[in-house]
Amino acid sequence: MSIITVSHLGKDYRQIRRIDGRFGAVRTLFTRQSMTRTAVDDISFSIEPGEAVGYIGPNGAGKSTTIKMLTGILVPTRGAVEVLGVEPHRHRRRNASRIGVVFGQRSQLWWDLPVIESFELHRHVYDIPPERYRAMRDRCTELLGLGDLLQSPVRQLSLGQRMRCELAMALLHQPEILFLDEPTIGLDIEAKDRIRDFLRTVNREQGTTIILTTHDLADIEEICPRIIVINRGGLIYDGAIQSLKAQLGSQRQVTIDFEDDPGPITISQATLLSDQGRRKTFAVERSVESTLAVLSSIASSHPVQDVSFAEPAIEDVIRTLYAGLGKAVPESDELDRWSRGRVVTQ
Amino acid sequence: MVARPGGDAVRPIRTFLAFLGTSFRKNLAYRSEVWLSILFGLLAIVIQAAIWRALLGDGAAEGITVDDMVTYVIITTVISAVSLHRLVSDVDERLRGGDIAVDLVKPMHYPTLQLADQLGRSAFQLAFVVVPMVVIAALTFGIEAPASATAGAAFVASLAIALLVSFTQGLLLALLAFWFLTTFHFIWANGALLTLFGGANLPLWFFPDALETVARLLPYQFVAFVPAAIWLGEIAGSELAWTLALGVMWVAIQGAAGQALWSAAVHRLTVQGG
Repeated sequence: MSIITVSHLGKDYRQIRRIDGRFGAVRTLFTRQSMTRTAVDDISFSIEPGEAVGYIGPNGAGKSTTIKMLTGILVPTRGAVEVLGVEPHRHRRRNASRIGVVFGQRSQLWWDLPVIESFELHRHVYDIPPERYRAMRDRCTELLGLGDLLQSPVRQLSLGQRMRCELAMALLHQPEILFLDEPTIGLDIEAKDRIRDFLRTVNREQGTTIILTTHDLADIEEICPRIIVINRGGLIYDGAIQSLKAQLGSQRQVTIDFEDDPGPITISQATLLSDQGRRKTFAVERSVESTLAVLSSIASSHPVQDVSFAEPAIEDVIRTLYAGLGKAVPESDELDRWSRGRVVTQ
Repeated sequence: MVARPGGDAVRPIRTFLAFLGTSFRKNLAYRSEVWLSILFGLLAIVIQAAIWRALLGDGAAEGITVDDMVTYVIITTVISAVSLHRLVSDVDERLRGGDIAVDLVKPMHYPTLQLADQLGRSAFQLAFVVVPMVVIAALTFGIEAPASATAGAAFVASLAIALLVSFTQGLLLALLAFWFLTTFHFIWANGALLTLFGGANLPLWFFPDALETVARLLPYQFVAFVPAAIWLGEIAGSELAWTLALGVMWVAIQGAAGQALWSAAVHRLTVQGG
């Protein structure tokens, strides 16, 4: 039974059309013309309990719009959303009591008060039994190293400290689903690590379903086995991060240091990426056979000093995907959804 | 998961009070504003008292003496310090900045949450601004006691009505922002109507008859004139009952309209920003 089901979801925003030219501002004021901008278009996916899913896409792709519809604060224009068995926007408050939400760019803590005051109020708003509240508060305090922070006014906290507190608060009522909209934005490495560790632990130990949007792909690699990629409002990939790499990152880089500059080299199975004289870098098909074939063919004609390989980074894979090259990737039917991934052409 | 449906009936009240208390403590962070608020409140009282002294001298107009007017001015200043109109700008700000998203992902009725927040601020104003201001004003200019025990009790009721009328009115204006994405003009227009028909500057009993008849039907009088007039015993007897009933009716009308507008607003809500 899926915990989240989204089918053919779409959201349009209406904008009043601006009129340029003479008296443009005045005419804009009186015009009834409006433009429709589609932020999310025909997106479908489902998420099972306990999954950790990265929801990614370039700026303006429709990530936040989707999250808002899933949390019940935005009404879809088309299609259907079901979260924990209900339509979130029709049962906003019921939905709200069972989910946790963290907006990386907004604070849910009371700015002028010590953190603990926000936690206490949260306990009332979500009607958390006192013993469970204390247990959860102490657990989060320990895992996130909050300690003394709870007594500090929020305005005195650093961004990293504040985000840790935001996360803890979102989990106090033990939500079944945790929505995170760019939770690591603007944080330093240490704070990011701490938050990633924490989210992994929460996902693994409590089985909390996690939906995460981010631009930092390390978040995804460390927390989410599955990713959903959207672009211009439409879904372009849904599946395991590993199989995306396998599909799109089909080439590896081979860097060869020669004894002497061999001059230009042309090999049919390899593409020259960079040429620094004695050091040349080629892109080669990822299979062992083709790598060996390239190497032996080069080594037979030129003395080689050293060889190194680089696997495609997830950034490169995603960049390829964003660039629209994903269209060419074939779909494999044999593998299950977890490792297969679904590439949808736009 | 955690929610205990059908739990005790006092739970919403506890949540409400917890919210109110948190809001009260939040306002404590701005203690430096207190001195200015007291100062400007007193200044407003001094100026208005001086005007009435000049106008009335030792005599009376329509049976109203200078002492009556000083008391009237103190009370209307107090009401304006605790009234909940500020809700409009608070909601407007959160709507523009997109912070309203944070409020809406909480399992709470948004207008109720706002009421708790505003009452927290009012309670703070009452404790730290109104009480010192009234004490100073009373010692300096003198303040009359309520005309009778009934007047005192009715004043407390009218104060509650004043809060609720100003809250529901603020809510209606704030919700218009969901459609127009700006409330500035509505706030301005409403402020003008409140200044005229509220009676804070000029009590309704000095109005020309036609204007007074209109003002006596509108909700604005409850946020200034009515509590002060009740305190002074100028509204008493059957008129008192009728006035309070009208106030309750306005709270109900504005409240119902606010709730209806809220339901509609949620469905066309556009939460700003990413």
